[in-house]
Amino acid sequence: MKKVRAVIAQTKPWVISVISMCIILLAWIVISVLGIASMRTVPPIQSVIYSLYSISTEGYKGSTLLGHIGASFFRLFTAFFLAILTAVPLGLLSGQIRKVRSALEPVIEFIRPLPPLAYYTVLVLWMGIGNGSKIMLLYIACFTPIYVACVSAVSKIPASYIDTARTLGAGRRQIFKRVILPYTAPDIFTGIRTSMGHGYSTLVAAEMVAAASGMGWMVLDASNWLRSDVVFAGIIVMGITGILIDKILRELEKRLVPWKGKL
Amino acid sequence: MNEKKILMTVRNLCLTYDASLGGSETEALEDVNLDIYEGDFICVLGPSGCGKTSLLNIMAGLVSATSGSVLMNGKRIRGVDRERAVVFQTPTLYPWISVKKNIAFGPDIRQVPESESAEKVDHYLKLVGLEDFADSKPYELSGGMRQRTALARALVNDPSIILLDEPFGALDAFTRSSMQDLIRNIWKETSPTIFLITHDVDEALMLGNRIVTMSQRPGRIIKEFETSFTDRVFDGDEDVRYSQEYINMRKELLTLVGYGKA
Ligand SMILES: Nc1ncnc2c1ncn2[C@@H]1O[C@H](COP(=O)(O)OP(=O)(O)O)[C@@H](O)[C@H]1O
Ligand SMILES: [Mg+2]
Repeated sequence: MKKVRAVIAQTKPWVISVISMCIILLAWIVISVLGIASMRTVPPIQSVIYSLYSISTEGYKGSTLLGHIGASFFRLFTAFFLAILTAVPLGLLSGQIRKVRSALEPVIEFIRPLPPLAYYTVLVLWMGIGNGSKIMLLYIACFTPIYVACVSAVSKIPASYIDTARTLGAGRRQIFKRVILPYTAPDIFTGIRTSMGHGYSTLVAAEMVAAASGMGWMVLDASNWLRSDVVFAGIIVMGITGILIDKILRELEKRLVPWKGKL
Repeated sequence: MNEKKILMTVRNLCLTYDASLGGSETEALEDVNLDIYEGDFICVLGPSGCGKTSLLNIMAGLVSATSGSVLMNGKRIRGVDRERAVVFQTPTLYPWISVKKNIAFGPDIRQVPESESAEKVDHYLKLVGLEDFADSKPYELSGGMRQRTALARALVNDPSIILLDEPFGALDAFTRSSMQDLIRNIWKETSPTIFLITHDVDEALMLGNRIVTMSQRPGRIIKEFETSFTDRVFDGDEDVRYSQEYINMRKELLTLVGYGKA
């Protein structure tokens, strides 16, 4: 017993993560080999791997896997960048100017707790079922976390940071560029990461309602046709891309705002 | 000595903080008057909460007085100006730039070309003994080194007066004493005008050529002293603090400021 404890204490965290993944994978393989579960509920691992291969090469209903990922990414990243471009300036402005904040906050506070699919129906009514309504939906989903992060970051700046710059001769614009922006950058980045997560989960939901392409649509369509292998393949792809996006954002964060946590 | 030029005048200064957030009105300063001459090293001594920081903030132009005025070279000050540099109690270095860039902050925002400012920045970097830390980030420095960086950042901007708000209060005794030596040497060698706030009687005695004592809140100036202990320390007489003269003045200051009662 003591020995086991000592071994666990020495094991690196990532080893434990790998082991737990292996156990799940192993269980899946055992189920597949023994054929205990039906094809529909738990598709055998080999058929999922095969459908991963076939949707990559032949595609699923008109486009390849890459095409579906591309369609999803186009919607997601268009909305994401639009959100960054608008939410950062508006959030920073709201943080500094009370009146701007008073104007924007009620709208944002109203939309924030709503489930995105609730107002999606309205967006579809207004903008049709094409990419427009989807990008708008994702834009709203991405906007709020960034905006909220910016407002709270500005309000956290200690007055002495700004006073120091003023006594050294900085004007309003320079204080913004050299103090407010770098001070808030780490929090803004956290907001951006949250926003991506939020947008990503909304994306899948949006594609499940009205679409003919994208990862979310592929999974839903496959489930209508009882193609569990494709459903599983789609989910695995979505999971991995989600992790990859977050990893990339974390890496960017490390490089762009190394003073995070040092304020 | 009497030929010295007046740099700043504080006249009939009063400050009352408005009642805000449920608090009551606070009268922080009451009729403060002070003349500051060029080359003075003034140490302001007063109990905690008596309005020292408020006075400094008004002199810097960060806070407006309720009544009274502050003149600089005969002109009433309006707002902040880089002529009056401030070193705050806790150093407000910017963690996103290096020590050197922090020191160069003033010249940088005025867009002084680097070719012009570089030499000066290096000079002050060396003066405060941080040449080996030029490229470090502020959060990699010790408390004393941070305060030295803040001091260099203020000096590099060529201010007419440096306002320091308990700059060494958060440092350990050993670091504090080496910081005091540093600022004394800077004062003796380049004779800037210095206005330093402290609640440490020995710090005031060992640094200033003038000591101004303030009363409990609302802060008033009770009495001013002229001293030369700092010159004697500079000349190598470290034992000046054991002289009878020093002990007597120390006793008087303690009584005035009210530490004796506590
Ligand atoms: N911004 C403020 N608003 C209201 N009261 C303040 C403010 N700043 C300081 N005070 C009050 O004014 C008094 C003097 O404060 P301060 O100048 O910081 O004293 P000191 O620096 O001598 O400790 C204190 O009672 C403090 O609580
Ligand atoms: Mg104070």
